[in-house]
Amino acid sequence: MSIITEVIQSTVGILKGMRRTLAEIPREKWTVQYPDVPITVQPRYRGQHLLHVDEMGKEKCVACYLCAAACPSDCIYIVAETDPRPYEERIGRDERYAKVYNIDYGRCIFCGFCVEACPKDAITHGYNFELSVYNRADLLKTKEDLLITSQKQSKNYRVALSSEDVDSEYKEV
Amino acid sequence: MSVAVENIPGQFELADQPLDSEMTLSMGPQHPSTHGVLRLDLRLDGELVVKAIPDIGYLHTGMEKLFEYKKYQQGIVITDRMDYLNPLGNNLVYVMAAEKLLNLEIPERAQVIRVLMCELQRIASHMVWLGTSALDLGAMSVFFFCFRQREKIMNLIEAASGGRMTPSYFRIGGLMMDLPAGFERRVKQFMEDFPEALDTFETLVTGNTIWQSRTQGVGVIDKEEAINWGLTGPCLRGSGVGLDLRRHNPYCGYETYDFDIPVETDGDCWARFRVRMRELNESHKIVRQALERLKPGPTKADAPKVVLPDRDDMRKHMDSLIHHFLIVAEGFNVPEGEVYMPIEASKGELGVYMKSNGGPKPDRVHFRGPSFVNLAALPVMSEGEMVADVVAIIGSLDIVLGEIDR
Amino acid sequence: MTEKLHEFVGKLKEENAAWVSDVKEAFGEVTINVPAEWVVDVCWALKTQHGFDMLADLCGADRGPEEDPRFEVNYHLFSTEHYNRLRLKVLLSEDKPNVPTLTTIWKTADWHERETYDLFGVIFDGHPDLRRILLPSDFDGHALRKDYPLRGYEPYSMN
Repeated sequence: MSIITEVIQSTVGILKGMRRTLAEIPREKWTVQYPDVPITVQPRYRGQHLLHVDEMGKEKCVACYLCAAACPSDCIYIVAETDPRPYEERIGRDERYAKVYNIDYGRCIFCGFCVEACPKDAITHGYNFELSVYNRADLLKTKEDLLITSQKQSKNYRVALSSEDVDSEYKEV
Repeated sequence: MSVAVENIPGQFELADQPLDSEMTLSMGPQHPSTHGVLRLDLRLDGELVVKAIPDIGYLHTGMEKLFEYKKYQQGIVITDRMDYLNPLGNNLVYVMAAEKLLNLEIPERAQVIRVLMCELQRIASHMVWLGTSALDLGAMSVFFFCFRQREKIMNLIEAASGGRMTPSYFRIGGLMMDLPAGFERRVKQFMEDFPEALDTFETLVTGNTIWQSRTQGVGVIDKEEAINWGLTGPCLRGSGVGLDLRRHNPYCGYETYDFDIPVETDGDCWARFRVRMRELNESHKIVRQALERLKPGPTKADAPKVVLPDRDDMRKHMDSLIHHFLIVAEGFNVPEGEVYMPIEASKGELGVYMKSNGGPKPDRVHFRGPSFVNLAALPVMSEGEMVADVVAIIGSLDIVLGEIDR
Repeated sequence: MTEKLHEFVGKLKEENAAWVSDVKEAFGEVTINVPAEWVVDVCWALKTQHGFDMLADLCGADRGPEEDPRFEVNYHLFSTEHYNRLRLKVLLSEDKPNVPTLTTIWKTADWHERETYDLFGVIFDGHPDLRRILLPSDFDGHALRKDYPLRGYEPYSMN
C-alpha cells in the first residue's frame, strides 16, 4: 500500500467520523448546566441522612445502636438516655431517645446499611449530596444538623419519577 | 512522560544497568493513558521498548486485611471499591462465595435479576474501556458517545440500588430489594437505543483506518503464552482460546441462556478489541433473554438466620425482629471451610478465595483480580514495540488499578 | 461431579505416594495437601499429563501465630481443556516458610508469589525477582499476618 492510498484512507476515516460527530451539533443537549439547572436523582438515591420525627414532632429514634452496629465504617456515634416525662413533654416518641446522634461524613460511605438496620424507620437517606465544607471538622454532623425538621434541603436536585425515561434530565418546559 | 530518569535510587533501581544507547523512561504514575496510578519503567532503545517493568501498589488500601475485621455482610461494600467499573460483578462473586459456604438456595427471580444487572454492568464497563482506549489513541468523540451510554446504565443501577458507582445491590442470600416500578420498561428502552449506539462505534472506530493500523499486529501474545501467563476474559479469547466461565463453569443459571463466545485468533490489540465489541452484542442478547424471564417471586432466600426479614414482618412478628437484631448486631456464623468461587467478570476470571473459621467474620478473603494477572503479561506484549504502542496495549488490556492494588 | 478430580488424585498417588499427603472434599471442591518439597513435581505432572494448564490463582493464608504449621499456600489450578478446578495446599511452619517457586512452570506465578511474599512473608525459593509488589520496599513486617495490627504501626492498645 503506497503512502498516498494510506493518506487518502486515513482522511476518509477522519471525515466519516467527523460527519457522525458534527451530526450531533443540532441535536438536543445531554449535559445539564448544574447548578443553574437541578440534576436528576433516582428515588432510591443515597444522600445525606435524615432523622425522622412522628406527626407530633417527636423523634422516632430509640437509640438501639443497630445502625452503629451495622455501619461498615463505624461513623455513627450515639449516646442513649431515658426521659421519664409524659409523651407531650419529652423529645422522643418513646421513653428512650438518642441524646447525641453524630454521623461523621468524613467516614460515611453511603452504603445504606444503617437505613436497612433501623427497626423504627427513624433514619433514611435523603437526597442532599452537596456535603463539601472548608474545614474537615465540619463534616461531623450532629443530631441538629440531621433532623428532618431542621435540615435544609438543597434546591439543586430533582427526584425522578419511575415513569420517566432512562436518560431523562430536567428540562424547562 | 518525557522525563528521563537517571540513577534512580532504592526501589526504582532496575535490575540491569542501562547501556549507553538506552534510556530509562518512567511513565506514570500520573499519566492519563495508564488508566490510574500505574507506573511503568520503560527501557528504551530509541523508540523501541527493550524492557517494560510495571510498578504497582500506589492504590493499595489493604482491603483483604479489612475483610477479616468486618462481618460477612459488611464486606460487600468493600468489594464495590475494588473494580470500580464493574462493582456488581464484584458484589456477585463475594456473595456467591459466602452462599456456597452457607449452602443457600437463591430464588429464581433473584438469579435472573443478578444476571440482568451483571450484564448491564458489563456493557457499562466495556463502554469505559472503549471510550478511554480510543481516547488514548486520539479518538476524542468516541469517549463522549460511550459515556452517554454508560450514563444511562448508571441511571438504571442508581434506580435499582441507590448508588451509581457503589451499588452494593447483591446481598448474601438474595438482593438488597426488588427492582423498582418501571425498571423493566426503562431497560427495554435502553436496549432499543443501544444497537444504534453500537453502530456509531463501528463507524467511528472499527472502520477507521488509523485505528486499524494502530492496533493490528501490536502487542501480540500467542495461545500458549496467554495460558502460561494466566490471561483470562477477552484477552485470552483474543488469543484463540474460547474460554468463558459463564459457559464452562456456569453460575446463576447462565447455562440456560443462549449466547455465543466470541473468539479471535490473532492475539493482538485488534483481536482483543473485536472480542469486546462482539461481547457487547452478546451481553445485549443476554439482557433481552433475562427480561423475558423476569417473573414475580421472592428475591431473598428462605434462610431466616442469614437474610434480613421483610420489613413488614419485622414490625409485626417478634421472631423476625429478634432475627433482625441478631443478624445486624452480631452477624451470622458461617460453617468452617474454604471455597474458591470464580465468575466471568467484564475483564476476565474474577475469583474469590474465602476461608471461614466458623465465626461471623471471614478468616481470609483473597481476590484474584483479572486485571492483576493480565497486567503481569504487559512486559511480554510490549517488548519490541514502540512507546506509543505501549499505550495501545494498556488500553487493550482494560486494567483497573483499584482491583490490581486492592 | 468430583469423581473426575478424584481420578486425577488417584493417578497422582499411583505415580508417587509421597506427593499427596491428604485429600479433602468440601463444597464440591477437592483439596490436595502436598509437601512443600514436591509441589513443583506435582504441578509439572498435573500440567503435562492431566491437562491442568492454567494456574488460576495462588494465595497465602495465615492460620494464626499459635498454630503450627502456620501458613498455607493455596494453588488453584484450572484446565482449559476439561474445565475442572483443583486446589493444592502447601502447609508451612513459621520457622521455615520456604516453598519452591512455580515460575518455572507458569509465568503467571511471578506476581502471585511476589504478592504472597509481600503480605505473608512466605519465601519462594528460586523466584527470579522476589521483591515487594503492593507495599513499599521499605515497609516493615508482613501486613496480612494475623499478628499484624489493622491500624497503626505498633500493636494497637487503648493506652
